Amino acid sequence: MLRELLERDPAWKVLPGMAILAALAWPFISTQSAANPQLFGTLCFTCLMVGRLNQRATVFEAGLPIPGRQFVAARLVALLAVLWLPALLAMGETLVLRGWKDAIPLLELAASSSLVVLVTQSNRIREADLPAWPGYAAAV
Amino acid sequence: MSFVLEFQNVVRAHRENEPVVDDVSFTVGQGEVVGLLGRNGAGKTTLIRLAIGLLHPQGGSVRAFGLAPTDRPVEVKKRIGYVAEDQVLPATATVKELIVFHRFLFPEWDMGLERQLKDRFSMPSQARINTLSKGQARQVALLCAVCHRPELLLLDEPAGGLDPAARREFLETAIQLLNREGSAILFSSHQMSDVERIGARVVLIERGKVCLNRDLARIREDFCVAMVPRSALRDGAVLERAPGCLRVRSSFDSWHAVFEKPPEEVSAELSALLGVDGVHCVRMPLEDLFVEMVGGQR
Repeated sequence: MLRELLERDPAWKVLPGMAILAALAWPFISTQSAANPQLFGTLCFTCLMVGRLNQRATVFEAGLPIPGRQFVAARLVALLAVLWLPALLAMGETLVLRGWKDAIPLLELAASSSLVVLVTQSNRIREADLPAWPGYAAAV
Repeated sequence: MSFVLEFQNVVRAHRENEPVVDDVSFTVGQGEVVGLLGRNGAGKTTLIRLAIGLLHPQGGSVRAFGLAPTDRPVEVKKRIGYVAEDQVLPATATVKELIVFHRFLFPEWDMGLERQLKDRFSMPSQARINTLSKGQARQVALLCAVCHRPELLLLDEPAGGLDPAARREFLETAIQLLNREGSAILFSSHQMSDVERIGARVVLIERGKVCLNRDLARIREDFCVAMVPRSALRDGAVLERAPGCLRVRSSFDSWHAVFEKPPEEVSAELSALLGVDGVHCVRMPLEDLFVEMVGGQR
């Protein structure tokens, strides 16, 4: 069931695209700016917004015979994946290009973003089907 | 008759001391079609969400097939089909992907019925949900809700926003398909024509309370509206005290009072009570009765 839900998760669907984007764009962005952590924070935020951080389960999904904990588990796995895969790629590139001192703050930022994922997904927030544009706007 | 759905003194508030559903009790029997009527915000959607276990009752109890939907959600949802106006189908999924997922979730999925509905709706299997029209998306939702042959179909304003032709086709399909199989249907609407077409039992909700629960045929027979000119009666409270009076509403130049009695009897009684001739009493179509029962309160 978890696999079935993951395949349909909006965050899981954008995961390959975000990972490729981060891997290709990060070396250029990070060498042209000294504000790496801020840019990295923007990258994390973009990944999470494109993965619909604000969404738990839609009314349609909630009406299906699927245990609630499986929904939560699928959302958490997909959101953490869409956060950490691009983040790890960017961190790896920073490590190679600029050394470990520059990579550590990025790790801390990714860890803080994970906390945001856990908090938003463990709260019973009101369902909102918001568009993905805030994420794209942040990226721009 | 065995009940597939039971509400007993159900209370649910979204804010403290503002119950959306207040002490509601009614049942839906096997194979029965029940129309949940009420104005916007009357509590229809909340009742349906309580029935499927999306909300917990804060008082009283909800039982579907004898089970509490919030305690045994998966078992209950396997036996229910659910279509709501505000459902957002997965936008980027194709129709085919969605159907395959439902086949996976419901082992008793009826492939024959699926084919029949796809043909009837001329459904494009490869189309993505976000490319479908509103009516087509609702047809996909209906297909997903009925092909496992649910014992209870919950329709929450299912045809809201559809044009009259699409609306009629949607409702007729849902009702014909399931009711001939013996499934029960609870649907909410504020369109009286939907209820009149289907010929269901009517549960009228106003401000979270049940103010009428009766078969449609009996509503037409049992209720009438008396129209008393304001010139003949200054205070509508006199009408409220009359035996059998359910509600009095002030209209432009007359009082409109709903009675649970035949019109001839009401006319004679009011003439005697008020000392005026020509009190006009009529049986009313459901829509007019609905307006008399819940109109003018906000």
